[in-house]
Amino acid sequence: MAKTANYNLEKPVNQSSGWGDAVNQNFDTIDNKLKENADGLAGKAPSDHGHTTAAIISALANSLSSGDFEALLLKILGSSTDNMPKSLADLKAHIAGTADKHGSDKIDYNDGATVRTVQAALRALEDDGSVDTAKIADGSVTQAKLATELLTYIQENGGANSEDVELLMGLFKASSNLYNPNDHDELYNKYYNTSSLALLTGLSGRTTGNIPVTEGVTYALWINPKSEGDTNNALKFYGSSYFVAHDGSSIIPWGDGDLILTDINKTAIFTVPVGAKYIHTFVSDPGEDTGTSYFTDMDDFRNRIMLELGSKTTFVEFGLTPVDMYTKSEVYNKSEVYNKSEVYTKDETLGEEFIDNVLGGLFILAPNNLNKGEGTLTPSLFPYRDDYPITGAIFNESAVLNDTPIYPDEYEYMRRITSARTNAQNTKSTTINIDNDNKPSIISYGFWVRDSDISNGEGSFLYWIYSVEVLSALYVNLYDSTLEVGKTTIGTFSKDSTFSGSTKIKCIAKRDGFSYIAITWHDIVWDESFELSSFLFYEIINASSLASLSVGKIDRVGLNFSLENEIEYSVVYPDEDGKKQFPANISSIKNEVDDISDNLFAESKNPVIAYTNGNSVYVRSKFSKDYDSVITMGLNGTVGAKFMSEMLIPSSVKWENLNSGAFSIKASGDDDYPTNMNQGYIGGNHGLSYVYKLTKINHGFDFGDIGTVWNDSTTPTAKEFAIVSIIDSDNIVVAGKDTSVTDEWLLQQTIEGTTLTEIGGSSRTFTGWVSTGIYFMSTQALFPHVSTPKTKILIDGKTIAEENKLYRCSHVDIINEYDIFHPGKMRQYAIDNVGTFTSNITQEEADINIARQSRHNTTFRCGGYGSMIVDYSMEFNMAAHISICGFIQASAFASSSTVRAYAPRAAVNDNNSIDCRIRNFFD
Amino acid sequence: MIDPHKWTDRVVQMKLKADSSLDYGWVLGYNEDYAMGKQTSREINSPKVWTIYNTRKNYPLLMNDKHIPAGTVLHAISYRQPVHHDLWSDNATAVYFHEIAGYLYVYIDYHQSLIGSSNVLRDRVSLPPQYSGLSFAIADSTSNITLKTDEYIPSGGLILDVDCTVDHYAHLRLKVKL
Repeated sequence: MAKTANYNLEKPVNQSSGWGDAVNQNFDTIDNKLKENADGLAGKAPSDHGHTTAAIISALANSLSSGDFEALLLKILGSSTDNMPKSLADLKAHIAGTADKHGSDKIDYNDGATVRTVQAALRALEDDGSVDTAKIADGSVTQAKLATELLTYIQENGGANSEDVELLMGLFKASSNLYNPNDHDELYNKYYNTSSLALLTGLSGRTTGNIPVTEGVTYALWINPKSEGDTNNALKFYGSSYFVAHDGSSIIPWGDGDLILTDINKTAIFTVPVGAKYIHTFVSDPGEDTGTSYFTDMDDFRNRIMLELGSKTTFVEFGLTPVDMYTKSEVYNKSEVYNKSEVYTKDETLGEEFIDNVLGGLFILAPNNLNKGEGTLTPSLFPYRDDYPITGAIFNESAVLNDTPIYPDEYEYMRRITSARTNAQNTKSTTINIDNDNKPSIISYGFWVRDSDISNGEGSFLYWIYSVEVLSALYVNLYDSTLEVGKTTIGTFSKDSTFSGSTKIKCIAKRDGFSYIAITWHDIVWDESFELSSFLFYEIINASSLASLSVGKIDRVGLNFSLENEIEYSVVYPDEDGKKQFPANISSIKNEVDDISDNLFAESKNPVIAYTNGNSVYVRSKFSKDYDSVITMGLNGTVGAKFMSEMLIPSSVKWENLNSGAFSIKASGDDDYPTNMNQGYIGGNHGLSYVYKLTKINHGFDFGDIGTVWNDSTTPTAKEFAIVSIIDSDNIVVAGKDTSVTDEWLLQQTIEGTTLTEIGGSSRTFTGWVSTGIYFMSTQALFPHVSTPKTKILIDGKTIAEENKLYRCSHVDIINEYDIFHPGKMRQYAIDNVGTFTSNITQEEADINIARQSRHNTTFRCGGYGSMIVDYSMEFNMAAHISICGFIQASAFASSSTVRAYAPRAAVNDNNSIDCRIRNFFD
Repeated sequence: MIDPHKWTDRVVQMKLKADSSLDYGWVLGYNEDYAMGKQTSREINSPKVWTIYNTRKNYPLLMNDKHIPAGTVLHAISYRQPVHHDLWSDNATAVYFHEIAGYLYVYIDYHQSLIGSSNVLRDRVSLPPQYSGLSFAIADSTSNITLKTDEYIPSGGLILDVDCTVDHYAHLRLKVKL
């Protein structure tokens, strides 16, 4: 019996018998061998299994030639391997050398500096406001630079994915916020300065409320350094703080109660512990313990002390002490700041940090000028008091209604934030002093409200503004738009006509489950008899109809909000009692939401204000410290868009006003560009010169004579003039024959003699006329010389401007197109159709029938800072001789006696040149 | 600093105050990067550069006395705008800028008659904050102006040294990628 080669298994012979034992023996052998194999494999794979990846790569590395390796990569990647590693060793080196592109947080440069990936850089920025400290140290790199560097790096080296890009954008944004030209002002943009003073109880304590903080961020807390603040104990204010956790409990990381700052000019530096949401702060003086206040003069106290919270890294980076920062900014010096409108109008000082952290809680009254100027900006805020008891709050209904506000002076110019309790009523009020001679033309305010609350149904907000001293009340309700037809009320109890105006309400932002409702009264006209000295701003939240309402910050932040997008409500006066409370349909308003970033401080993002009434376009933008530029373009000129004027308007004039106080710096009515071609200027406000107006009283012609041709007295060959229009019974227009054999027209000009003789027909003669050269164009010859212009206005290059609507935008395009008719063919059309006319040749008729010599496309792009870009193109359907082409021209600027000119870098080639020196014209 | 080969691409007119100091101004000019506004194009198309009539009306030229066939397209980009320095610089005669086709063009001029000739002047040109951090190239500069901040526009402003101790004029033109 034969056997197998390896395990000697019996192989029965064909047709044999008695091999059963042999087969059984075979099965035993097989079973044993299988068991051996199974046991041998147990626990082997994959670490020391003979076919691990490492083993395979090792085997490949030992056996593959560089050519095989490259071929393998090519097979895997399906593309060129020109720049690929040639071996596994090369591949490893490549990965090590480009770690930043392969997920590492950072790589080291040869110079020893560390360059981080985008993720790492942004993380650093978010964590502590710092960036690459190695490069910061030498002063050569800012966050902005870093962002640029990173972008360049990614562009040049690849490795960016969508997350990288997103993070990079975040870094750019953060950089922009942190670094601003007016950096000494911008310092304050970085602070988490939502602190302010507010009364706690009586005069013995001064709480600064809860200031939002970020977990893990290191802050510095210090007291305003005006040491003279406490007249009794000049240098010993106490600052106290502890953290408030998300659940409202206290976190006291420094143990044993409050952190006490016992002196001015001392800075407490701390890192916000996990779980903390706010830092609760207050300041007090030593007199607190005795129950007797040292602050005999609250105004003095208010002026001289402030608790501030700032990012530690901000002043460390700039090497400034709190004293320096205070001195430079003056932000907290009310007498200077809040009367200096520029604090809020220099858009370059206002980043989002500023919006979020400095302006938070502002209630702004902008008297005459929304943007800038000398108007008094009077902010007012409210104390943040989640823990107000339902009863016994400082601001209670009786105090308001009885016109006995508590400590009204304390709240003047104060910056506070507010919150209303659930089921709150009459939660807060404040007074704002208003100069009676400077009554505001616009009042705006707003508040954050939780979406979850307002989505429950109708509710009501009542914001009452009282004139404290005269007991008249200005009164505004946010009414239910369905029940009360959107009525918002501004007026007085007595229905006296104290002012009129319009109200707009808009949800302008949504964040983190809150909606921001902005309410603006604008175009307010005050009755002079209304003696206004102060407002008591009084909020009522009607618990009965909006039981679960919670209001966040009273927080109208911004001056340059978008009025046009807000929902307008008519102004009516309230009922006699002036107290009706209607449910407010906030839920519908909150759906009308714009991005807050597009509405607040729009000037920096959208430096252009544009308006059209259908006849003209007005474009206003910042120009200088004192003036804005206003460009006016007409829309219905002969060729459509036309220059009209360039003016300056005092920047103090509110932004929606485009003409008050404006004065011209340049008359531009003759700046529309014509091209001098073939026989003279044409296009712009020019028609071909000349055709001739023949004036004779009762000339006797009618429209049927249009197209008749007349010889003058020129010898030996008469010039041929065709009647092309009948101006009136005393005036006709004739045009000379086009003698050109090409499309470069050459019309006969100058009528010789005193008699015109008709060619053909009845051979009439025409005498006794007086000839005047005029342009061959619709405005003079009553013959259209260009096609119907097409003009449109685009806002930001995408939105067609509506009439009588004010836009804020980055730029305005006035796009214009028209075709120039061939003058010779204009004349010929009249001749070809002689006897058929029952009127002068109309624009519509000309559009259809007259050959077009050239098309003129122009975009006038009005951008920020008074700029206008003119993109002009001419497309010629016919050959032409261009005598002069420049696409632009400009009438004289200002008066000759006061103007000097220079032409940068230009050479001097004669005594009359304007060159790079500043000199008189024609010196 | 006159460039004998430079064609006039812009004319700045400045209004004087009562004390003869400069007030605001106005500029008319061509963008020299595109089409017929390029000096090379103008040199081909026109023997004339810029005409100012005795009315002081300005007629810049791009083409003069040329026959063109049917189908020709002529085009160029120009600009016009009021000029004032006070928002951007304390010392420049004029600083103005505008955006064209993805670039911000910045023009900065100085004159000896305004800044004096005794010292090299250090000046700061601060542009609106939205331009901070952007990379730029020097499109044109006289040799007597030295830009101390390179590569990108610092948020703190462009710092430059102007030397008009000899030359009566200095100029810098930047092209900033938006």
